Amino acid sequence: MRNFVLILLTSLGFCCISQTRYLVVFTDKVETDFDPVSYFDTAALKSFKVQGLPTYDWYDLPVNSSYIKALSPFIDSLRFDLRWFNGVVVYGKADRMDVVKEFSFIKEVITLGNSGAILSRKKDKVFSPNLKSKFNVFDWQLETMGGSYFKKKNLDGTGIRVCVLDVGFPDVDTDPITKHLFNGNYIEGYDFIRDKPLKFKGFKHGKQVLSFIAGKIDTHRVGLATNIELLLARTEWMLTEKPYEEEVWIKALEWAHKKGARLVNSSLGYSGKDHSHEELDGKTTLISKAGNLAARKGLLVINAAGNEGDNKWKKIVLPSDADSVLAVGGISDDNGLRLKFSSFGPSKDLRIKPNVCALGRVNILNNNKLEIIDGTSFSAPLVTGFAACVLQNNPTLKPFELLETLQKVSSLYPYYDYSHGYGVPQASKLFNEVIFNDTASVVLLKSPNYLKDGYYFLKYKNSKYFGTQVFYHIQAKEGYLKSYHVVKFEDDAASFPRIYEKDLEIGDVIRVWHRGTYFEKFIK
Amino acid sequence: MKQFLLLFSFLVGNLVFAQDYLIKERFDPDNFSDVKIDTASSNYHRLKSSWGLNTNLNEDDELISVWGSNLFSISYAYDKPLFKGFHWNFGIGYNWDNYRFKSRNDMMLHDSIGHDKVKFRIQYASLNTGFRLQTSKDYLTSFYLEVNGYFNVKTFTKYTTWDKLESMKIVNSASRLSYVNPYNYGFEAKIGYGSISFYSRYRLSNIFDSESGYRELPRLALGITLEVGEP
Repeated sequence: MRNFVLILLTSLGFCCISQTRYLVVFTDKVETDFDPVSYFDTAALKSFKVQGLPTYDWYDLPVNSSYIKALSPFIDSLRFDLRWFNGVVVYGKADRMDVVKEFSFIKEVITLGNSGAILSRKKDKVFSPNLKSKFNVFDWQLETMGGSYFKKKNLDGTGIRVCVLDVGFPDVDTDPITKHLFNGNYIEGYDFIRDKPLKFKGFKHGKQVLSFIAGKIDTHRVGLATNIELLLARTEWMLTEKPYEEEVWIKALEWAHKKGARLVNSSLGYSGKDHSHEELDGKTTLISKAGNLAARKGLLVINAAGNEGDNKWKKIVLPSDADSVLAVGGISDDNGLRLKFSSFGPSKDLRIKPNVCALGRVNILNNNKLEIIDGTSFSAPLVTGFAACVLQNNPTLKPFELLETLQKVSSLYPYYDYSHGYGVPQASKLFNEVIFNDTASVVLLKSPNYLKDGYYFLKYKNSKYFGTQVFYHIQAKEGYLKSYHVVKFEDDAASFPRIYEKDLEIGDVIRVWHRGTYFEKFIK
Repeated sequence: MKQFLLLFSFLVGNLVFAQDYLIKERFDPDNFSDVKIDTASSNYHRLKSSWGLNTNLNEDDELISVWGSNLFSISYAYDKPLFKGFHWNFGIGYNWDNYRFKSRNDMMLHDSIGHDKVKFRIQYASLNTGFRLQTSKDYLTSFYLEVNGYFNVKTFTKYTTWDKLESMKIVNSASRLSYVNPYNYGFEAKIGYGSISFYSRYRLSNIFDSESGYRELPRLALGITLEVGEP
């Protein structure tokens, strides 16, 4: 019995041990011993050249090792360095960090948070056998983005290096959907949780995500970019949220940059108990700053908008708030509208978020069964595959230009809202100069007794539009959307969507999108 | 009546003008607070597996051999937070409870012969409910203290004796023992962290029918529980 109590106390004692993590940021770097040619992968150097970016950048210089040495007596342990932030992630105690802050070579000491999540949800249904006949569903999924246009143009992401940050990639080298990527496309993988080369095991979320970027089965594509150059990075711990995943995400981003990635898919997000809505301005958290810096340095992060739409957080997750990170919301396969869990925009500083959207309820092949799974985790890779094809078509696009292109070729552009962004990227628009049709198929009319009733109403021009959806929003003169709506047209005049004068102010703008046509009305 | 008509016309009016809104969102630009928002799911579902030992603690003498008197249980538990750190639990499961008697003559349920080994097993379907104090919302990173009441319904009983006669092994067993009460109940307390906890269980009711005359079995058990679940 005494032994039993001893075991109990020892176990609980182990459980009690927890340390705080800090990012200790140094004041400067030594600029003499950095050789970009030996540091970067040749693909990275090629990528910089194509994009017209410098190979020598202060951010890539190593962290000063003498500073780390001087710091070591004051910390419990060193996790890793972050070149982009000129600092080191350490475990330590608060009183020691107070001492460290006073050192002349320390710029600041940042306490690090703990709140990550993978952005997938449970599977919904499982189809019965007769499997192959169902594979057309993969074609349909990609056709929501006009996938056949890319096929006709032979665009499949060839030559574009893509890094996937995720929780695990079990059997990706043998899985029927992803195995083709291991005949010369796979470049390297690294497990940043274990700090070792990646092994193809663990939780399958990463494999599913990869499928929607680059997967194929038989003659069917599951993702649009089936011939990308592939980097895989494990940055998440599935069983419990390890308290260092945000820094690990940044470390992996640095690695992807070093290895020459042009695109990074992150179906991961950070929100919850260590963050607040006020931080969603793209400038506050390290992870969002890293997302922005990545774009400046030649790689676009495509991040899931988040699955927080139906919980207390509601809004987009970090780092989707960063202005140079493309945030992807999730839409239903049923009506093409926001799935209830897909996170809402905008950012704190009222920028449009999510930027675009894609299917968030998708079919996936799992152990010879066709399953339906949910999550903006799967919307992001669909767009990443799309982006890889766009880059292959025009490799000189810089991340900002690519982000803008993806928005411009999306289904609702130039209309937008805080649920769908600019809509679903469309390959057809990429090859078509007419981005939207300004001969609207609906009109905004004043009510017959406007002075008495005080409302406008939207009416379709042709009765064939009965049952179709019309999108409209009211933008305040300050630039943000006061409200936005999607309404299904009914066949009777009494149910045409109404916009009441009492909801409008001078300077407001009403914008309307219907069946690819668009108009706007300024309130004077 | 006038008010009724007014209400009626208002409702009808609203029905006539109803629009089929698929999305209707209003946005307040000031609605970005600095409050940290805990998004952990409010309800928990867990599958628990326990192993423990029936003990002689609190008994006058050592009736049972502790290491041969183990108990297993497997259960599903639903957990709902009532207010900060305070949760309500409900569980349903199945238990296997074994007692091995220490000396040859301690337990004479069927006969008065001194057997080499005597074991008694009882299996239950079990319901339990209680409260849990938890240090953080995420149970995987939380210390907790749990107190539950349980109620067991007997499903199977077995009494087995082992003997050796010269080189021959003799095993006798009897099941469906009528002198075992169909129900029993008690309390259990747990202390744990994340997916592991240690428990003690105390039975309030008697295993045997009071008219059977058999000596009651020890009431206290100690053990360990492992659980998996979500979120």
